[in-house]
Order: sequence, then structure tokens, then C-alpha cells
Amino acid sequence: MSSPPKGVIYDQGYRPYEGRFGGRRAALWTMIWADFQRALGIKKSGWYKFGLAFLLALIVIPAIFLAFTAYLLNNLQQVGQLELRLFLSAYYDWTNTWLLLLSAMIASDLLCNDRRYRVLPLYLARPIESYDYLLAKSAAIFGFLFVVSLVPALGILATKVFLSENAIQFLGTHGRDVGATLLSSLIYPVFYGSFAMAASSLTVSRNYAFWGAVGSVILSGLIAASLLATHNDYLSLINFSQIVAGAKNALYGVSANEWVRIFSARIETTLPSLDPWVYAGAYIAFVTACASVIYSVYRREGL
Amino acid sequence: MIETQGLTKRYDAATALDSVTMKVPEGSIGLLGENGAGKTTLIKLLLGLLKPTQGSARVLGMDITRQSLELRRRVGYMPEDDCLPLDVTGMDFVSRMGMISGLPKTAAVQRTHDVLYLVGIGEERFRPLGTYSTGMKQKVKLAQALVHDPKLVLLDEPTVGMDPKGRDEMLQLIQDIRKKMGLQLLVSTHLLGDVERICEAVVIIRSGQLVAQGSLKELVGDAAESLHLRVAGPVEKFVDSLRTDGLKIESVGNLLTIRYENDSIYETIMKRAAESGVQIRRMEREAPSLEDFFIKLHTEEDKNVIAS
Repeated sequence: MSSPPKGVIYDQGYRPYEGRFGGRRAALWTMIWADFQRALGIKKSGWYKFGLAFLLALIVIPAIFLAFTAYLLNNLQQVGQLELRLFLSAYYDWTNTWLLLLSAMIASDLLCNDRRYRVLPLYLARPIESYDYLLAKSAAIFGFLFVVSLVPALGILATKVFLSENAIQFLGTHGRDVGATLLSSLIYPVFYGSFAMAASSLTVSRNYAFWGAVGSVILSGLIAASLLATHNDYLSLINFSQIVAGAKNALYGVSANEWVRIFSARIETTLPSLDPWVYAGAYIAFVTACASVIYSVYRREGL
Repeated sequence: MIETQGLTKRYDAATALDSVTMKVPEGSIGLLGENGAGKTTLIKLLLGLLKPTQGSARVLGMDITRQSLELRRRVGYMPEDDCLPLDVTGMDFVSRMGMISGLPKTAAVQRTHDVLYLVGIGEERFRPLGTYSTGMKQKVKLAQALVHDPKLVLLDEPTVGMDPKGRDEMLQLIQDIRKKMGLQLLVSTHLLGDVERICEAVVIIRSGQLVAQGSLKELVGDAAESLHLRVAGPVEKFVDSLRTDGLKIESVGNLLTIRYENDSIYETIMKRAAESGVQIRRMEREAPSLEDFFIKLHTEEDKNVIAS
């Protein structure tokens, strides 16, 4: 008779850990990935997912529309070829507002809750540097927004490449536009992301942070619009959106709202257009100011 | 386990910690002090979360300023405050903390299950932390401090906000962790009873200064035992006769407290009770406690203040 099978212990309970420990880079990646997943809406409420899907749709639909317009215009020989940069510039102008809303939504969710529930000491008690916490948040927010703004733009680019006679030649000719697209997909997330983070660092309420960020931009636009009559183009920089739009226009080498030529060459635009270096300086100053606000708030929190 | 040399932390107008020099042995150590004494500041300094204004410290042989990353890999921290994100499950939160501490994902998940089971969190681990009771939240805080297999755990007021049953469970859990896992513990609290139950030695801080440290036996040993009596009959005559025998007595009505010297005191008490016609309704011997030591400390300090 064979002996009965011996028992097998599947759960030995708590044991000391004898494996390898990852370094600071592994810890940083864990935080970035967790925040990225959170931004994506994973394990978030239905309302968050709905809001996210809605905003993503509002960002993608213009890209689809512009790609379709490029396709249609390509077949209307009498209109001629319109530059790629006009389509890409239009895309960023049309999705500017939705990117702002998305930035405010994500930043307020990722930053406010941790301070509201005082989770920071638990992160800081881990083997990470004190600035790693903000580094991870920034990387997740900027990374997410970068992907969201780049992919639809690449769709427009791909459509134009597809419609061209020689793809390689087309890309070679429009190298500047490709570079401008990559950079624009970076400057918009950094601009709105840092502003949303600054607004979120000033309050523990997600709602206040969201509406504070959005309301500030709207207010700045209204103030700038009310000062248009002074015909001082520098006052247009009071409108926060104008700073990043101006920087984007400088990258593409277009003037403000030049993309309207897609629909009618007869439409004139008289929006302000300053020297590119002015926009670059204003952009850097704005982002630096936001970073200073974030740093000073979190320094008080113990970072 | 912990060594400090002139450790000082000053903020703009206040000195939170003033030149603390101590050497804490391995084991389960209580960090005692009133609210605002500097306990949490000391813990944050030892964790490397704050930079000292002056002085130095070593924890587990590592310098707190130069080796803070490596130090925090080997130390677990259970803060006093409510510090859990309410919209994340216990499982997700503890495993994330484990991964940030350097555990690979698989190990972090496995160890999360192990420590949550150890602290008594069952299927609730898959619910959001916002649905947990205070006691469960304290257990999750403890679990996140243990998940990465630290050598030393710093517990800041581990029983705060808990009901008596929950406190008892938490203290028992801490004792079990100390015995079964062999962890070194530094328990910061203002509750003397907690320290007496789970600690072997004590460091006492007041107004940022170290006022006493040593094993419980060393500190409490100085305090005398007492006999508490409840009597009926001519109390004053009884008390006077005991005083003539050289006994130190405090009386409040028919309740007497006699300082215990040696066992011959019983014979004296019985003899004098019989002579005085007093009935002894109750007699209880009370061992010295940390509270007695604290009272003695306070009394000596008050005397010094008055003298100066």
C-alpha cells in the first residue's frame, strides 16, 4: 500500500525578505506608472472616466476633422496644396481649451488628494529623495498630456504623408514641421500641466483646484480682450493661452490663426503677433513662476 | 540601535530639539513625552526627513544625513496622523508602498498579502481605505511600515484614536511582531501604560530635551512600592501610632498609603491596628510604575524650578 501524499504548505505566512531591492530608479518608475494609470482613469470613478473620455474625444475629433479636410482639399486641385503646418497649427489652436481642462482635471486629482489625506509622510519615509515625489507627479502629468496631444497630431501628419506623392521626400521637406509638432506636443503639456499643478498645490480641494486653473485662464483671456482696444500687442500676453499659442506659432512659423486660410484665403486676421523671442521669454517666465509656487508650497509640507 | 550626539533642531523662533545625546540599545524602546515635547521631530530626524541644525545621529549604524536613502530602506514608519488615501484599496496601497521601497512587483504583492494577514486585515484588503474603521486603518498603517521587511520600525502614537479593545489588540500585535519577527521598535507615545506593556527601555523627552533614559527596571526601581489600606475605626490614633514606628504615611479620610520598606511592615501594621481598635477592611500592595517615576521626575523638576 502506498503512503498517503504528504501535506504541501502553500502559504508559509510572513517570512523575512531575502530577495533583491530595486534602487531609486525603480521606486521612481513605480510612482510614475501608478500616477499614469490613475490619470488614465484606472480604478477611478465612473464620472472621472466619463470626463476623461469626453475630453479625449474633443481632442481627437478635431484631428480627424483636419485629416479629413486635408484629404478633401488634396482632391480639389484648384485650391492647391495647403501647407502641413497650417493643419498642425490649427489642431493645437482648436484643442488648446480641452488640453487645459484635461490638465486641470488630472493635476487636481493627482496632487490634491495626497495633501488632503496627508499621505506625503508615507512617501517621504521611503528610500527616495524628497524631490522624487514631485518629479514623479510631473513626469506622469506631462507624459500623459504629451501622448494625448502628440498622437492625434501624428495622425494629421500621417494623413498628409499618405496623400503625398513621395513620403520620404515629403518628410524631408517638412522636417521643420515634424520637429515643431514634437515640440508643440511638449510645450502645451508643460505649460498647462505646470499651471494646473501650481493651482492644485494651493488647495486640497480638487474642485477648487480645477476651477481655479480653468477660471484663471478664462479671466486672463477676458482681461486681455478688454485691453485689445489699446492696440498694445504686449498686453495680449495677459491672456495665458496666448503665451503658449504664440510660442507654438513661432515653432511653425505661422502668424496667429493663419490656419483660417484652410477654409478661405480671403479671411484676414488681425490678432497680435509678437517677436518669437518674446513668446519664448514669457513662456519660460510663466513656467518658472508656476514651478516656484509648487516648490514653495511643497517645501512647507516637508519636501 | 540609535545613537545621537548633540542632536538639535531649531525652527525660526522655536527649538524643537535641544542637544539630545543618547544611546538607545536594541529592543523595544519607548519614546515618552508630552504633546509638543519633540518626539515627532526626533523621529523625523532619525528617518532623515529633516536635517538637523546641529549634531549628528546614527541609526542601525547609518548616518542620518549621509546615508538617509539606505536608512529608509531598512526602517519602517507608522505616522501618528490619518495618512491613508481613502479612494485606494488596502491591497493596492500597501503593495505600492512596498514597490516604492524597492520590492519587485511580485514580491510586493506577496508580502502585502502576508503582512495584511499578519495584522488581521482579511477580505477587507480589497475595499477602499475610506470604508475602514479607525482600528483597521491603524493596522494598514502598520502593515505599510512592515511590508518591506525593515529592521527597525518607528511607531508614532500607534494606539491613537482607538477604543480600549482596539488598543489592546494593537498593543498585542506590536508585542507579537517584536517576538515573532525580532524587529527593533521605537514607540513614540504619551501613554505610560502602553510603554510599560510593550517596551523594555524608555527615553523621556521634555521641551526638546532628554530628561531620562534607561531600562524600565532601572528607572522605576527607584520608586518605592506602596501599601494601600482602607480602614474603619479610630484612624487618627492608628496613623499616629504607625508614625511613631517611623513609617511614612499619607492619609485621606479612611484611606491610607504607606510606603513599603520590607515585609516586617505587615507585623507592625497588624499590631498597631489591634492596639488602636482599627479594622483593616482592605490592604493592597502596589508595585512601582512608570507613572510613579514620572511623578517623581516632575516633583524634582518643580523643586529645581522653585529653588532657582
